[in-house]
Amino acid sequence: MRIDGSGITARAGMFAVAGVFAVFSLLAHSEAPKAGKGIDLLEMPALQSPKAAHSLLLGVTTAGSRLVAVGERGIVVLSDDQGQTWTQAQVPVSVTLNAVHFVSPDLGWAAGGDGVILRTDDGGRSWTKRLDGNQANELVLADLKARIGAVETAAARASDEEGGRFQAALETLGFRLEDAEAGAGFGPSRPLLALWFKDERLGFAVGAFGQIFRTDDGGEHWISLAGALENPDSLHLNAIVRLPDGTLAVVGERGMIWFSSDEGASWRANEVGYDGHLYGLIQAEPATLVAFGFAGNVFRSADGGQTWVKVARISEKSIVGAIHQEDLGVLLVARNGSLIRSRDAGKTFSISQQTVGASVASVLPWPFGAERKLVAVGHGGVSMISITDDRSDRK
Amino acid sequence: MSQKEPDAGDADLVHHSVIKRFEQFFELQFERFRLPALFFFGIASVFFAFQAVQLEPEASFQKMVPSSHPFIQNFLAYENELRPLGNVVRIVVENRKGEIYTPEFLNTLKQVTDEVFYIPGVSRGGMKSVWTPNVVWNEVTEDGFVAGQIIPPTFDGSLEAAGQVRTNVARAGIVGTLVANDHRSAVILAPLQEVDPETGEKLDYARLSQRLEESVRDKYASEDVNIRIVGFAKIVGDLIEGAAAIGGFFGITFALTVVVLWLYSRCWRSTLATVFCCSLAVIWQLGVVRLLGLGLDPYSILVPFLTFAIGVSHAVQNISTMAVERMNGRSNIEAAKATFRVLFIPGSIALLCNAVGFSTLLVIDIGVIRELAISASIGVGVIIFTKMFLLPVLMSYLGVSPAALAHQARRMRGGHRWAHVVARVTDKRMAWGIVAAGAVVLALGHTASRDLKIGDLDPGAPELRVDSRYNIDNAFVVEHYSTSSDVFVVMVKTEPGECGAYPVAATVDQLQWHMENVPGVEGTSSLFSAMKKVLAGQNGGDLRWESLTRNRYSSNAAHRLLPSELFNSDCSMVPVLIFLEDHKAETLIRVVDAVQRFAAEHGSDGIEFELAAGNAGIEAATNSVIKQSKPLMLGLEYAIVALLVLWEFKSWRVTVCIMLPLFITSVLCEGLMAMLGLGVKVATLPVIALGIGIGVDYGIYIYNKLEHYLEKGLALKDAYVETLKTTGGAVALTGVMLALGVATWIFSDIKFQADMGLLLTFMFLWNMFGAVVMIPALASLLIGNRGKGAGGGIAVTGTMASPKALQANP
Repeated sequence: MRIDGSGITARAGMFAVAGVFAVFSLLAHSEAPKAGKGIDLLEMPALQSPKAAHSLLLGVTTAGSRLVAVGERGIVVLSDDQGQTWTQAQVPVSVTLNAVHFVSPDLGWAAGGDGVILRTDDGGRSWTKRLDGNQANELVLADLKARIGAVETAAARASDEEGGRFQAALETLGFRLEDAEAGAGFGPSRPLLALWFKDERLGFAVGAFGQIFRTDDGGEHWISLAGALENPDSLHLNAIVRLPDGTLAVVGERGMIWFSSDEGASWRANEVGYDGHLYGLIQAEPATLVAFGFAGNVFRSADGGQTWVKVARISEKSIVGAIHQEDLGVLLVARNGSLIRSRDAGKTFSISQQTVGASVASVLPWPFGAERKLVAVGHGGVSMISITDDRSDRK
Repeated sequence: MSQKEPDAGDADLVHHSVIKRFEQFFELQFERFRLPALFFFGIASVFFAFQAVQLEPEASFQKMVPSSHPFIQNFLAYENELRPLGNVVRIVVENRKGEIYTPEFLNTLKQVTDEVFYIPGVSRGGMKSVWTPNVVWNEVTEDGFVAGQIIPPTFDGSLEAAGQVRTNVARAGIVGTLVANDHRSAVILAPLQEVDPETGEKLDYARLSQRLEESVRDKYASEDVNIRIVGFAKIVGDLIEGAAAIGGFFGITFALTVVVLWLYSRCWRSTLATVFCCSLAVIWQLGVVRLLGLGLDPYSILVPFLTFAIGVSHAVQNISTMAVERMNGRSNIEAAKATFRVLFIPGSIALLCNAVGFSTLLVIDIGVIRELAISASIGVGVIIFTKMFLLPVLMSYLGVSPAALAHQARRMRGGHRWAHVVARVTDKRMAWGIVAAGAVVLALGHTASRDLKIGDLDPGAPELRVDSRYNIDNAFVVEHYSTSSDVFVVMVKTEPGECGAYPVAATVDQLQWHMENVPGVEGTSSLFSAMKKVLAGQNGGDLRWESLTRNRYSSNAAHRLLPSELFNSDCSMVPVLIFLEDHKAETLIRVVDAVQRFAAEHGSDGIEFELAAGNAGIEAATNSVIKQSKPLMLGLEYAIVALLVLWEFKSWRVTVCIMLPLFITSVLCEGLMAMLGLGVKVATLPVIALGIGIGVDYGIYIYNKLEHYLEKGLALKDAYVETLKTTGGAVALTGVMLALGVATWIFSDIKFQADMGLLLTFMFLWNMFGAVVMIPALASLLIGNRGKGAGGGIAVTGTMASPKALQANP
């Protein structure tokens, strides 16, 4: 928290108005909300709207030659003409959808607010709910309780010497259980932020407050892996990516990266040495990884993620996406649509393209041939960002 | 049959015995009452004049809306809380030379902000501009949540500091609201207080508007800086200014009236006496209005014109009767008595019809229309005094000048060829032709009127002209800012303290999304639109978090950062702003329907949707009241006027003869409105009532004379020729007088006054035409030559055969 000469910090502001809003704080602690039932966005089918394609869209991918984008208010839009015209899909919920992934032209999943995971078998035209926050909360609690049970059993058998270690583990799990229970008190409140499927059966979804789930049957059943990650503070998990060598990586809050080489059964935690959010990770060359995140922070590891160095920052805007192509090098996309490029596998970066006023949530490399452009989604829907090939940059 | 002895009126008095006695009493006492009457009128006039001069132009928002409509009730219940959203003045300061981020311009903006701060009526705490400390940017940085003023207290006027302002403006997200989309102008937003909390005085819109002009526009507008001012208060201010200006038109109307009256009578005595009496009527009317505690708003300021015009139009009958009586050799006093006797019944009935016509406007639950109805009825009421009593008294003293008598003699000697031509409409074939033509005109009018819309159709402030300075300023704001001048507000009511809760959030968000998909809706905004932005901000600007949350800690934390005008003080109401493309009736109906459908489906005990505030919400209420009241008002008006006519003439056939032309005129008027793009609204609905109420005068005067001659046994055609000879000119003059009285409004700066003037002029002239042509034609078909008597004709309506008519036959 900084107090700059001209302003007030939000927290100071909060204290100032705390009296006025005391009534809120009190009510926040009361258990049953008094307001009527109102609309439950988990139960409300998405409104069919001609404005859907211009809404806030957050995730975009391809299903065969079809573009599929998801966004606020349960909106899923499809385009079969490379993004020129869009049609809206039938979606049973109106929560924000954050991420979408297809393993074939027909089969795909989307994840979003209130712990929702949807599945489509018809290339995105219609979707069904396969998980929501209510189930997600139970999965998390069940997982943590099971782990606590397992540790307790182990501790009972363990020698005194080992006992201390078990005690510490139990304490951590206990805190996490408390967190999870408190969170579940708000109902299905925790969003899923990203998902990735290996094939039609095996898939993962990650989200806020340390949620991570795995399915082995294409989304019919899910298990929580939350306890498998070393994440005592239930940090948000922002993205899950598959590295070329098959390693799974999850990035999250406080500069955390977790790797798994056994399809999520076990994870090892790494810290890049940064207090803020990481939003993604990309391989710049074999064993060289580039992690990027909040406020233009970029980190590089030349040893497969063991140790990290901070790369000189050249933008204050958060980095929301990255692509790596032979001829382009590593290209990072900032929240405002600016492009930042590295020609030396992430050692140095420079602004390659300034954009003003855009608001990008995520990007997809142009999937329809050699054209150098990106499909970007964000406020206002889908837009295409042409990559100007500045030769000077190649020197 | 003698034409020299128009033993007028008696036939009438036969079937109005009470009135007859009343009339006879005054007639008998006429001479004795002359001096006391003058004395009484003198004293009363001084008193009313004293009252009238204290009247001040005003315009009140509450009076222009249907205050008992549920929409308005809901709005009034939250009026204070909605004020920062509603009664706001926006002062746009534009840099003509470029963007606003120069030290000089920012300094000017500061001066204007300070200037506005000290204008009485401005709610200082709610004022916003890039200079006020309540407008902050906030941003999540690696160091936490940072916030600050757009222009920090440390601003030193340097170029760098001015550049920093640009950054702050961008991150505060005020482009489109406080700063123009093109960054070339900035807004000072000043909410107003309708009642001064300290003095308890009502906001004086005229003074506020004047102050804005003097100490803001006049003072700061220059080659480099342009000032534009929009907001309800400015509309009201401009209305008051425009209303005051229309006072000037009264002079023109007055002068024109004098000229026309003189041309008609060639008698200065009667001309001046008439104008004097009618001016007294205006003074009395204004005096009574003031005594009743009513004000002079832009609508009721038109009533003096009407009073004057109606007075003059009736007095024309006095002038002509007086001249005729004098021609017949009666003394001034006897002629005045005769005038009183002849005109008392038809004049009073006609004026009563006027008053009734106006009073049917009372069914419309809109303050200004009701006040218009009341003050117009008062106007008509005082005419009965000044014109029925005072004018004959005055004329008995003044007499008619010899020149005027000579003029009258010439007129009566004339061949009256035109009267014979016009009277041909009573020939059966001609009459059928006229009626057929009337039917065609009616059909055409009806076809055209099917396009008639309810409500205001022009963009911007419909009260003012499209090219008025206000509407030009308003168009600028609409073009350069992301705001619409047409805002429809839905108030979402919750349990106290629950306005930010998730179920409310989800429901409101869906309402917004549903409404954004209604054609005509440009966008929406609410507490939750802002809350989503803050939630994203609190999560590092991650757009995936720009979403509602069920997590009460998160939503409360976001809620605390939001401006308090987005919800009410005990957090039991969230206004949802729906921005519209226009305020056309269809758009408003679509929006109201969509909200009500949504409310029916998703409303619950804890989440109620209350319509409606915002100018568009209020207009929707006004439209619905107008739409509902229109058939009721017209039905009542036709029924009552028809009953009065029936009472006067004791014949349904006569009633049809008189009412049918009026009906054709009203339908034509609606057709004309549709073609001119005028909707049925607060301003135009009264016109229809006024048109019928005043239009019936012609019919009453014409048929009264016609009946007189018929009862004397003349054939219809001859009777009509006689009618035209004696009263035809006066009727034509009446139409001209009435039209003159209202035609000057067409040049008013106030759009609705111009609309009213145009339509009334049309109705007055067309009603006159209808009366002169249609009434005899219809009479020929419906009544025939019922008065032929000894001429061998059989009375068509036996019941109507009056002893007097038989008696009158030689």
